[in-house]
Amino acid sequence: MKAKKRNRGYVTILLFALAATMLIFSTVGSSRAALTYYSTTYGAEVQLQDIGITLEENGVPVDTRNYTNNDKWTTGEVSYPDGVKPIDTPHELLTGMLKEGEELTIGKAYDEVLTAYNSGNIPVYLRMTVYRYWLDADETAEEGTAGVTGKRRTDLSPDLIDLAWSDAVSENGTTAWLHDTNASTKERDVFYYTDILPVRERTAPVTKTLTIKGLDGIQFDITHSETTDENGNTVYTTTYTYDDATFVVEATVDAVQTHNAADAIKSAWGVDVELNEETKQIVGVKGAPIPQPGPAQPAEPEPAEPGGETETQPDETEPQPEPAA
Amino acid sequence: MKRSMKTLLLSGVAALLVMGTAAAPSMSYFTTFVSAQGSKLIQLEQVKTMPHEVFEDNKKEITIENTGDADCYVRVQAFCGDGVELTFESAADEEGDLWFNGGDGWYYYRKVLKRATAEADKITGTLTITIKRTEKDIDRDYNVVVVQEAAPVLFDADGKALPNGSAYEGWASRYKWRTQSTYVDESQTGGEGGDTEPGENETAPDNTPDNTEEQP
Repeated sequence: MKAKKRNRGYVTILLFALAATMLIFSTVGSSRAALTYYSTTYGAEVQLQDIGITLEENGVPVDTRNYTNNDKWTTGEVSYPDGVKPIDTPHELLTGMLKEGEELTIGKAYDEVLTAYNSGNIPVYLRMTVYRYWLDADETAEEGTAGVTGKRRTDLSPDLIDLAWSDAVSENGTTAWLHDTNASTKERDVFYYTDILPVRERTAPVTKTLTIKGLDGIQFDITHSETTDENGNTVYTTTYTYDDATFVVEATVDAVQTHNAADAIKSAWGVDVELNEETKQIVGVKGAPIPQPGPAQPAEPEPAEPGGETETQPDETEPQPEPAA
Repeated sequence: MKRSMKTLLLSGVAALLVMGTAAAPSMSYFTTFVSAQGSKLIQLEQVKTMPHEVFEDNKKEITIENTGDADCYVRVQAFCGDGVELTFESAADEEGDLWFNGGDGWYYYRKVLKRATAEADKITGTLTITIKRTEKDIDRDYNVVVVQEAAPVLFDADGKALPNGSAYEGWASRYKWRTQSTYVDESQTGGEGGDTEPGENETAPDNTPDNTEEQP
């Protein structure tokens, strides 16, 4: 009887010891990862696994966010093969749309080429979301300039902020950007870059031009009112619905690692993507149509960047904390 | 025996929990994001024009002046009752007539009429309307109504102004004025016809307010 009790006690102690050992090993794993930050050898490897992305407008970087290490991110400049370029106007679009003293011409198609550049050290999948909407005139803005603190004008049509989407195609003949029409609204358009974007390469453009529609647009959305003055003359007054309104264009690029892509995309973006096992292309998004072969206009592939660092294989990536959204 | 099984079960659960905590770090992924925003203010100026008319010798000489802050197109229409015929004659420059018949009852000014602050091209060339009676009922008064409209300039994708008459439905402002004149038969006045008699000729003065229509 005593021997049985003693045996049960051994079993309990043994199991606790096992649990304690597993706990210790789990912490050892984290410590081992932490140690790499302080090792010269491992530090170099961590550098190769940094994710980074840059949003460009007409070839000019307007925002960048690149992981370095120790939860630090660089945001002020982009390292290109031909040198480092600073972000002159961070987070701002349309700054070069008009020359000094130039007035906005309604109906003119202005260049608005939005691209993403892989400024990190691992290949990535990309999603770009483009917003366009109207605001009331911003009373806090300087006279004649736009602001972004006015109230949202949901009665004005985002369609009149006409962004011409690119019809670029990938090397496999599919569309370069998959337009997720199910996730898109009148004010928001969601695109998935179907190819993996290699390190130090640039996507095909997602947009080409920006036009404020005049014909059948804001110049035709008018109301007339008639009054009679003291001399009996009928006075016509024309009111433009879009006068003193501010149009806004926003773009956001999300990047995620290519290792365990489907799970990573699901975790980061909350969508289920369908991947081609052979080409690793995104060929569909849950609820979105499968991209059809694009028109004859081929994408202009960026030349390979000479002198780039050794490309890290997806399997070599080490999990890093996700940045705060 | 039962207690032993319970202990084993609890220990197993504990082990799973420990493994779960160890697995958590590997659930994070490499992600990053960037964003940017831009905006522009839309300011649409009112189109304002001032018609000028000189009525002499049964001819109306029409010019239109841009008095607003926006470049614009203009067009003119004139009509009358039976027994009166109107002919139109346009001033010309080196490229040809300044006014052309749009085929829809309107005469369109070929060039963009520049805003009031411009140094030139803010007044149209002359459109002359000649009034001729086709019936011999010279005692009867007649009316010739002239309508003028203006609209903001439209641009193509290259930023070039579209030719006038390319978007007739967009005329944003409308101006009308009306002239009532008494026809004078030149054959009975020795060729000095065209004078209008006081009180019978109501021609819109040059200082007609913008955006006004003179009532008959």
